[in-house]
Amino acid sequence: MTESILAVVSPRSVGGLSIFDAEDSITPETAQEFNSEESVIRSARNELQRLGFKIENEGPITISISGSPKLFQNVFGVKPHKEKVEMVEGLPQVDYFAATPEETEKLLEPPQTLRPSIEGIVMAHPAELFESPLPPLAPVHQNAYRYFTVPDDIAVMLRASRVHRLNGTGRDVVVAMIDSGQYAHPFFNWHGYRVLPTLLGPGQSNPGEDLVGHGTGESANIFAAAPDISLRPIKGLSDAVGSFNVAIGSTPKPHIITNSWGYNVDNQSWQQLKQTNLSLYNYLKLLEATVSSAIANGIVVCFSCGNGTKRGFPSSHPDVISVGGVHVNYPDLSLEASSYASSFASTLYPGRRCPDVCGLTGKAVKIGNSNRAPSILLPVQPGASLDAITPSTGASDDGWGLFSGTSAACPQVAGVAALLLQKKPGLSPKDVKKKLVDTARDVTTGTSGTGESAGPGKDDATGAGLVDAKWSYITTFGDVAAEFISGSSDKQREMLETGQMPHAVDKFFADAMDTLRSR
Amino acid sequence: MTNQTVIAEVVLRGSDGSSILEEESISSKTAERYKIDENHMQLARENLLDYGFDVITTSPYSLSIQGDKRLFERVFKTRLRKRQVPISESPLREEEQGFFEAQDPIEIPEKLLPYVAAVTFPQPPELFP
Repeated sequence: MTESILAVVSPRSVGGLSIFDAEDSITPETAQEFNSEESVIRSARNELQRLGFKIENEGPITISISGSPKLFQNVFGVKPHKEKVEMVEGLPQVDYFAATPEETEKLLEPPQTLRPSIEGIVMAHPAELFESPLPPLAPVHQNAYRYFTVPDDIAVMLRASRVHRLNGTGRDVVVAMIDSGQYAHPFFNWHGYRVLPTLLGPGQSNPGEDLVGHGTGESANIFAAAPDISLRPIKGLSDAVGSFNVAIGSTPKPHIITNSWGYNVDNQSWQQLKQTNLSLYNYLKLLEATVSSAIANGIVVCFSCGNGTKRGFPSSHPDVISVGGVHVNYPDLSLEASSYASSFASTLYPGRRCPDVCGLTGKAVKIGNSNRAPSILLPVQPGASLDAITPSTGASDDGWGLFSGTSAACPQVAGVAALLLQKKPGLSPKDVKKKLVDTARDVTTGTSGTGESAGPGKDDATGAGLVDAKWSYITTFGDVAAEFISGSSDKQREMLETGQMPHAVDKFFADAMDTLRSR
Repeated sequence: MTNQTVIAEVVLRGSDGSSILEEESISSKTAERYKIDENHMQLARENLLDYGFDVITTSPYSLSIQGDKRLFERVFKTRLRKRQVPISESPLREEEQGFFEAQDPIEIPEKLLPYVAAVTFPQPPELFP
């Protein structure tokens, strides 16, 4: 592979002052002074491309470019040399190209053809990473409870670990996640998780960045349930419809699209929404059609129900898997409806109740003046908003945050769905939803954030209950196996003795009986 | 993209004049009925490009377009104002996302009427961390 130098170009700023001459700190209030006019950016881009540079990224203030060392020498008269830097303590150093002070001066005086459109160029210097693939030993707030770590605690509580040892890991299943972005946290690399390049939805930039931390953190829940899926992050909260279309049109085509967001509008009919907010109505009808079309084309779509008293659309769309929250008490591991998670009867779709099924969500605890659910420790971009969420993990830039609303529950359910699709690729979205619902673990106690109660069987607070990876996976073994599993012990004995169960090696039966005993 | 760049979703109208906006609720069973045929969608796309918009994504129901704020205001005879909304009630209350809102009813130019049922400016959703 030809070596490439990365550099950052500053097109001429609207404020007239070069970013390289700014003596005062650049703050959110003053940053706009260093934006560039679209025409200037275009001119800079075109000239750089004409000279032979590759445009890596473009934003309102800078353009990232790459080119061979020879190209930089020809255009700028510099000959950057290689240096090494330790990006992560304890890991091998990485090479990068650096400029001498004299060369840096030259880079700030671009050639004639570039001078009208750019202020200067600097070589990219790799950052030092502070985050660890391992979570810190975060203190447990006095009002809170034992938290879970990814992937192991989540895999155990969803009963996915056993499925993993039966080679059910989500291999060859593609899960798209539309969210705030995906940061290359070492957690994902160290676990060997497959993360495809992030695609940008309309209005988005900087695909490698997740300043909120939500997308990065919540994606870890998918891998906890299904470690061998391929994740396709879509950075796209500026335009959910456009981002959904990006997901649908991406290659490889996703089997599942998981969405830990929604619009708190399901407290009125469509007609009422049309009368009160025509613009939002039009937009959400588009979203409704887009989601419907995805499902019609065989894509499983999961949406978070909402937190607290939120009534999330499109979670309430009848064809979507609507995901609520269940809290696990420690140490007895009893289950209860999460008081942090929402549940509701839809008014957009009369007769439709949310959720269908639940994932793991902490119950609400008061920390300061706010309700929190610090139940799962998740990897985030260091310094992201969710890195600083209280209760703290000990630092606001250690790359880990404690948060677990229905945003966490939804990707867990998506991961379990991936296990089913690996085993039976032909399952329709409707089939997947039915299997998850039919095999969920019943939750009989607790109250949701909207005040609805759990009880025996399907209930308003938790729907069918907590998703069960093991049981739902077993039902993919075929009708006979499903009849065997749901049969009485007498029925099961009869089926074994009469050979109705398919012939299989002893180990399979031992596994199956072991699984059934541990139910 | 500058902070005066606006994105919008254009709800397409089929060659028979119908659009998804007329349907009370759309499911996976009925969604296919409202798909715009490829030729009609391409004509919509070309017309929007003629006006100076960039077409970012296409789908059987809509096109995502992008352009300068002044372009949108001129073409659709409206004023756009940027609003900030929190992306999560809690715990990220201080995090906000901006979006543009039309201050006046949007007028679809006559040339676009055969293809465009509505133009809508995306409002960001809420996260549930």
